[in-house]
Amino acid sequence: MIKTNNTDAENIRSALARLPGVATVNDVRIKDRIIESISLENKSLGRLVLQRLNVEDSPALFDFYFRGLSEQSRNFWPPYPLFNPPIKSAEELATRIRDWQREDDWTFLNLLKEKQIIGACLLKRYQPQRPVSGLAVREEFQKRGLGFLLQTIINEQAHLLGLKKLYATLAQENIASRRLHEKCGFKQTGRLVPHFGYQDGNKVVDRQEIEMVQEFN
Amino acid sequence: MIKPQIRKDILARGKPEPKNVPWWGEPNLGGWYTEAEIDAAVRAIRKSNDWSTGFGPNAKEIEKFENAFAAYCGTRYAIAINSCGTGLDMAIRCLDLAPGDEVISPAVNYKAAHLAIVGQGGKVVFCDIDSRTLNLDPEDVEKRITRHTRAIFPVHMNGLPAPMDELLDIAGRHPHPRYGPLKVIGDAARACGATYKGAKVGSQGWLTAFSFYSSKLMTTLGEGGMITTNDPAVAERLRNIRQFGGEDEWGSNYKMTKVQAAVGLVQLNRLDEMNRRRREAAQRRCKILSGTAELILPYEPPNCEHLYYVYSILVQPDWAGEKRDKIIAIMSEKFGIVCSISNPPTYLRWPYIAEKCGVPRLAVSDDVGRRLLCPPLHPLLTEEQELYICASLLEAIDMIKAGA
Repeated sequence: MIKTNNTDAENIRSALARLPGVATVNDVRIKDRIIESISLENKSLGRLVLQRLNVEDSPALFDFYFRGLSEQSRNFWPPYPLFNPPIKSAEELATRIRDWQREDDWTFLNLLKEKQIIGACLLKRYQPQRPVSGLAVREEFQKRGLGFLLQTIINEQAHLLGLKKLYATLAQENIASRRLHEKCGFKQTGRLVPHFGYQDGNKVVDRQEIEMVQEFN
Repeated sequence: MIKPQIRKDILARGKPEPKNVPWWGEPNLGGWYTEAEIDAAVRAIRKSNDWSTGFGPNAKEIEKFENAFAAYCGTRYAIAINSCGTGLDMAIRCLDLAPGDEVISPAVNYKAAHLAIVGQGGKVVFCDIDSRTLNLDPEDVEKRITRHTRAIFPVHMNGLPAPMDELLDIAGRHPHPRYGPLKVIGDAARACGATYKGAKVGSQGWLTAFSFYSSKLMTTLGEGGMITTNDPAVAERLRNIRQFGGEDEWGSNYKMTKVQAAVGLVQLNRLDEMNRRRREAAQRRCKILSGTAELILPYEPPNCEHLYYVYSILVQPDWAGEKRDKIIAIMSEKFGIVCSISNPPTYLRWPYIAEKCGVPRLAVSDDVGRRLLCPPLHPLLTEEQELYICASLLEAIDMIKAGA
């Protein structure tokens, strides 16, 4: 049984309806303050569906990450725990999803056009006072406002959970992402935070990332 | 300084609350909890309360806490364990000491470091300290290196980082004939969050062990610890030792619990705030006590952030020993304040250490052991409590000067 608070759903619906690329928002489903799915009409792309991650999504998500994103995009966004440490197969991804599915302090949402994942976003709340968001859009669907759409959805998810702040860390050379975050209300904290990557199977601090924060009223 | 009349007024008001319990030099709770820690603990318990989940194995809270702690320190790996003491044992075990192998460690220390060396069949080589910082003296360390030396084992004393640059330089210049550069193993039980030349303690050296015991700067429900390292092989080995040796070697159960890790994540988020409040409390005390001729107040070297896990005062040399002991006695008996001595040389404090490691009688360490005095310090001390502690200390000194 999906419990939907009508006011919450309505708030999300109206926040998304204000975005320039969105024609209509058809359906918003929320369960226990977590977005389960959103169905909307995009002016240029038609019907898009946002869905919470399931184990069954692993082949499509694997395809999205390794075929849909450029090497640079993957380097900019290796989201823990799904793709960091690195994985080699959709089966391994399914194991990770299954392994982490019971944890209720992270939310991963896929954006689908028909059955293809064209974007994904993540809200991690492992550190209760420092929730972190992240997102990526399939190469051929970039520059169509989908990053703004996904970040707006993450912001709405943060509102639903009563979060007061939302952090993001970005590679210093990721100018496009910095602009997107600024557009969505993030500001630089002035702090650099270590980013952990993998080289030859070993965990290494491979760069210092810019920390940004958005404060909600 | 507190003017004499104001001091009289403070003491005339009597001991502030809590009146009927001793105020320990190392207060029983080092930081403090908020509703967020309580919520995190309850949530972790609720999440575990079904037969298919339980409290383990491989609880995600532990992985999250380890990742957050590694990121906080700026190190590659963090391994959550059940205490810093066991962490020190694990660290020394990773040296694979042979009989006769030596580990250099400051005598002014808690005994855990020396027990860890003895426990692994190594030889403790005590080194002397710098009386201003209470940290080991690099010059003295270098003098004690032999062809049997395997490691240097500094403690980041009372919240002040040890001189890591000098120690790493010495370690590199005196390689062991078989094992190469000496390993530097840090005991950061009292220095979680401290900064050395812009780097967090735990980011340098081979291994660093942290304590989350109740009285420490942050706590995971009273016990707990963490080891940080940048060495992937030793990180894997530590994880194996923590879990009964994995498949290939000796080990036992040194694991942290899921609920502790959930609380640790919250405490880690609040650590800088708690440490900031602690530093402010120490700085307030420095202002109140500055100018007291009989006392030498804690020293913070440039480029280091002292966290004042304890507030370490040295009395002047002519107040060493008996007179220092009288101050402690008066403060305890008359004012209900228990000053700790953190720490005298372990070979003087614990007969077992003296028996196993010898009594080298190091000049500075012995002297500091007779001059140290640590009145309670806590980030949440109220102004009235702080004034009472300082007034009691100054009153005790004046009473001794008057012939008490």
